[in-house]
Amino acid sequence: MVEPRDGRAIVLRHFKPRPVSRKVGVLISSLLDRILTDESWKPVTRYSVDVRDGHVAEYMDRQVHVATEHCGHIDPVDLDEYLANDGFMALEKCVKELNPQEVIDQIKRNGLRGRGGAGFPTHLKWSAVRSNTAEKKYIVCNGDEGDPGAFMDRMLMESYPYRILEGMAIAAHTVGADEGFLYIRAEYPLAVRRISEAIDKCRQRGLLGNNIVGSGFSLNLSIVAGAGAFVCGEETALMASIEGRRGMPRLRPPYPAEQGLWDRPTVINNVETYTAVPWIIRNGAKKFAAIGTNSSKGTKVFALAGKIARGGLIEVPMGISMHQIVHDIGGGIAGGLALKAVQIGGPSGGCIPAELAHTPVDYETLTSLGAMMGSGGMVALDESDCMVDIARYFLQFTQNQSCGKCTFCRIGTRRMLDILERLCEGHGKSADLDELEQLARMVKKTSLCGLGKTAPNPVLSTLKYFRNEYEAHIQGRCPAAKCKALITYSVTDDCIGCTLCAQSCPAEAIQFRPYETQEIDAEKCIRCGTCKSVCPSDAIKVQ
Amino acid sequence: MPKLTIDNRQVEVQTGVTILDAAEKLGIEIPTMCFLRGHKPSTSCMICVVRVEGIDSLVPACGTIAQEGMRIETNTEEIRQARITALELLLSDHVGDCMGPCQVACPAHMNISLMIRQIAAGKLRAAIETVKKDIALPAVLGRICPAPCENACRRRQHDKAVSICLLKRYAADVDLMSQQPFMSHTHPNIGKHVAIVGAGPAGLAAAYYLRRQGFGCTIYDEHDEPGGMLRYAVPEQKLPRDVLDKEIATIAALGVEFKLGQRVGTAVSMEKLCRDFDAVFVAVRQLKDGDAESLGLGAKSDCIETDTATYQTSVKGVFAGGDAVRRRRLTVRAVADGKEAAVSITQYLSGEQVTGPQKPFNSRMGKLKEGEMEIFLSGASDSIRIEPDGLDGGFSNEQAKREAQRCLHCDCRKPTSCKLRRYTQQYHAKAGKYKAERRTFVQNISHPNVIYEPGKCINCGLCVEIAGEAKEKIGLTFIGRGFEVRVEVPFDHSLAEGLARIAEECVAACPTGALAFAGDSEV
Repeated sequence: MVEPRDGRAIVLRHFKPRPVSRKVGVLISSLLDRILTDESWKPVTRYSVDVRDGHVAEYMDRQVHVATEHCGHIDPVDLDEYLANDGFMALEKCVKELNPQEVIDQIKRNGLRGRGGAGFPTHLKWSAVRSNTAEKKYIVCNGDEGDPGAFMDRMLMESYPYRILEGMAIAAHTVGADEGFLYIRAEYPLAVRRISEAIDKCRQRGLLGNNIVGSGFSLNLSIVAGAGAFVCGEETALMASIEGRRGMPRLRPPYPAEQGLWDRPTVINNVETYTAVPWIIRNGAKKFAAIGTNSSKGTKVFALAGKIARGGLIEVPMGISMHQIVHDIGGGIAGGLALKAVQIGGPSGGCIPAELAHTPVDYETLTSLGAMMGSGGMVALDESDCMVDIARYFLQFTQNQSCGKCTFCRIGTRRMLDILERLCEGHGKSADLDELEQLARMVKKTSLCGLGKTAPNPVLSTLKYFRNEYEAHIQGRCPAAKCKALITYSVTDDCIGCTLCAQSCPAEAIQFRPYETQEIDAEKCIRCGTCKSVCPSDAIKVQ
Repeated sequence: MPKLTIDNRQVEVQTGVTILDAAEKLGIEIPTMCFLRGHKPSTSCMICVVRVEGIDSLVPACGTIAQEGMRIETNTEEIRQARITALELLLSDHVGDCMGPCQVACPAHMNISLMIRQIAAGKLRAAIETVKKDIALPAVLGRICPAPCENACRRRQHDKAVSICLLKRYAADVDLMSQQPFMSHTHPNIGKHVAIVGAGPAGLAAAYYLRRQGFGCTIYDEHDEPGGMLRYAVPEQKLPRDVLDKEIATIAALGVEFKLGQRVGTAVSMEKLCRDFDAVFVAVRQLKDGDAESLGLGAKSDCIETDTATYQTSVKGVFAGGDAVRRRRLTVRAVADGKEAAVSITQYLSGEQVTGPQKPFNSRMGKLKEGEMEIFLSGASDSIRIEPDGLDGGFSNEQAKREAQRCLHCDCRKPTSCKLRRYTQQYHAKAGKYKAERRTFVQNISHPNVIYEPGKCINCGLCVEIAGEAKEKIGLTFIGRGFEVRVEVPFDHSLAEGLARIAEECVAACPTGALAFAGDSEV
C-alpha cells in the first residue's frame, strides 16, 4: 500500500537531479524543510476512520462483503484485476478438483437460499436439474429487478459482472447446462453494457465459450433485455419473454427445473444468488454458514431508502436487527421525526412497525410477522408517512403490472385499489375494511403467480399493524396529514404577517394581507405544501 | 397409476391426468369456464380452484396434475366462497344485458327480443311459439296491455320505443286467423287433475300451462261464459268478443273442461274440490266481503294470503293468484301469475319440493353512456315508430316487418350457453357485490359473421389459443396490462383478418357472449 509519506522517496527515485549544483540545492532545501516545517516537529497524527469520518465508519463497519467482495477496490470490467483477486479460482476448483455432487453439497452445507425474494434452497434447484437425464439444459440469470426503488442487482451487475458470470459458470458446470441467458431489464443500460463487455472479455480469454480452460466444459451466455414489465421478474414469465412470447406466467408445477426454457430443464437464479457462489466455493467448509442465523445463512444486500439519514446499498449478515440497520448503519431518520415502520420487500412485502424494530432480519422471522424479505428493498417510514397511502401506492404498482391472466389478480387487485382510493379520498365506508381484508386474503390464496400472491401483502400488513389509520380515514381524517383530500392547511397565531405564503401560493388561495394573520381559502387550496415550506415562523398547520 | 382422494372418495388414475379429470372419473363436477378439452389449460378464470392438503394456496383443478396420495376438497365452504368471489369479480366487470330491458320489465318475462327478430325474419310460427311460452292470451293482451315493456325499451332513449305490444298482437292475430292456429304440444295425461276457480286471465293461463304438462284441468266459474273480467269488465270496442272467444278456444282446445254457471263457495264447496282434485288454483277476481271465508282461505285487506314465490295458500294443495292475491293490477300480471302458479302446482303434483319458477340470473347494463346508443343503432333500422293501419288497428305484414327492424337487440346473443350466467345462478353470486364504474360498451363488427363484445370477455384466452393452434396468420392476442388487458386483433387488423379461418370454433369455445354469431341468436 502506498502511503502519503512515501511520496517524496518515490518522486526522488524517478527524478534524480543531475548537475552537482542541483544536488547541493536539493540537500540544503530538504534540510531546511526538516528544521522549519511542522512535519518533523509535529508529525501528522493519523486517526482511524471511525474517529475522523464517523458516519462512513458507521455505514461500513457492520457490513460483510460477500457478494460485494473487494467493494471499492476493483474495476468492474478489468478482467486481470478480477483474476488477480481470486477471480475464477472457484470455477477452476469446481472444474478441476470437485465433482458436481461435491459442489452441490458445498452449497447445501452453506445454506445458500435464493436471493430474489422467495428464499428457496439453491442446492435443491441445482440438484433437480443435475439429476434430470435430458441432454439439453439451460442456465438463466434473473436480472429483471423490478421493485421500484430497489437497485441491489443493478449495482451487482454494474460493479461485479465477472463474479456473476463465474457463479453462473459454476452452476452450469454442476448441472450440465451448456447455454444460458442473462435477462437484464432494459432500464439498466450500463448493466447491459458491462455484462456484455465482461462476456466478450471472458470469451476472448477462454473463460466462456467452448472448451473452457481446456476442461471440455462449454458455456455460451447471451443477454436478453427486458422490456419494461415487472411481471417478467417471475420465472415462468421471464422464460416466456426469452422465448419471444408475451410475459405471462403459467401454473407451477411443472417447475423450471423440470420444464423450463423451451421445455428443457433450467436453472434460474437471481443475480445476487450467483454472486455468492464463488465466495462459498473458495472459502469452503462452512464459512458462509457461519454468518447469519439458523435458517438464513450468509449475507444479504439491501437498498436502504425512504426517510433514512444515510441511504444506499449495504451488505449485512442475516440476523442483524432492523434497528441496527436503520439506526446504526442508516443513521436514523432524517428530518427529526420518529421511525414509524420499515417497509421491506417492496410491493410484494410488508411493513414492520417501529415497536418490532429489534426483529432479526431472517426469512422465516419476517414471514411470521406478515412481511417478506423480498429482493432487499427497505424503505424507512416516519410519522409523516400515511400507511394507507403507502399500501395504495404499492397496490397501484402491482395492479398496473399484472399480466391480466387470472381473475383474482386482474380484477381482485383493481377492486382492492378502488377501496383504497376511496379511503384516501375520504369516501370510505365502515364496511370497506372487512371487504378489503377478505378480498386481500382471497387474492393471496387464489392467484396464479407470485405477483398476485404477494400484491395484497402491503395491504394486509398495514391493516394488521396500523388499522387505526384505516379507521381514521373512514372517519375522514389522515393522521399523518398526507392524503390531500383529508387534510386542511391553516395559519396559526404564530403568523407574523410577512405574506411570503400569499406570494408563493400557486393556487392564489391566500389573500395578501401585510402585518395581519394570513388566511387560507380551503376551497382553492391544493395542499401542495409550498406555504409551509416558505413560512419563516412555522405558522402553517396541517391536519 | 396414482391413487388419490377427492371429497373423501378414492380414485386411481393414469399418470399425468389433472385433478379435473380425476374428479370427472368419480362423477364429481367441478365448474370450468376457461377450460376446453383438447386445448392447453388456460388457468385464468380460476373458478375450478380446489383445496389440496398441504398446499397453502388453492390450485386450479384444470391444470394441476393429480399426484399419488393427494387429498383434495372440491366443495367446502372455503371453495364455494372462492368460486363465488371469482364470479362476483367477473360480474363487476361485465358489460351487457342477458335479457333485454323489455323482457325484464314484462311481468311474464316474455322473450320479446326473440319474438321481434322472428317477426322481422318472417318466421311467424316460431314467433307465436315464443310468445306462448310465457303469455297464454297474446291477442287479448295485444289490445288491452299498457305495455310496461315499451316503457323500458332502450330505443325510447333515442326516438320512440319499439311497438312491442302491437307486434305481439300481430303475431297472435296472424295465428288466430290461420288455417291451423298453433297448438302447443301437451304431455300425455299423468292422471292428476287440477281444479281452477275462475275463468279469468289467471285461471285460463294456469289451465293452458297445466295442460301442457299433462294435468287434467277443470275450470269453474260463476258466469255463463268464460273470460272473467275480460268479458264482463273490459268494454267491447277495446276487446272484440270474437277475439276473446277465439283465444279462449285455443286454450280449451288443449282439453280443458269448463263448469260454467257454478260458483265455488256456494254451488260447489271448496271441500268437494279438495276431495275430488289433486290440487286447486283459486283465481277469482278481486275479493269482496265474505269471499275468503266461503273459500276457506285466510285473507288480509281483500287479498288472499299466499307465498309470493310459490303462490301456495295456507291450505295444502290450494294455490291462488291473479287479482285475488293483489289489488287490481295489470292483466298481464294475472296471466303471469297463472303461468308461475302452474310451475308450483306441477312441482307439487310431481312430488318435488315446491319452490316456484326459478328466476334466471340477469346481468344489467343499466343506463347507456354517451356514444353507446349509436352502437346499438348501427344494427337497427333508423325508421321512426310506425303507426298501424292494418286490420282494425293492427299492423299489416309489411309494417310489422319494418317495425320489428327497429329493435336494438339489447339481449345477449348467447343467453343459454353462457357459462358465467349458468354458474352465477348455480352459486347464487351477486352481480353488484363489487361496485364499480361500468366500462363503456364496445362492439367489434369487423367480421361479416361474428360480433365481438370485449365488455363480456372474461380473458379466458381460449380464442387466442385456438387461433394460435390453427396457425392463423394474424390471430388474436392479449393487449395492455393490469385491469386494462383485453383480447384484441393485433396491430389494428380487422376481426375478419384475425380469424380468417377459425371464427366458428372460437365462437363455439367462447364461454360467454363475448364472441357470438351475428345471425340468429340462441332460443
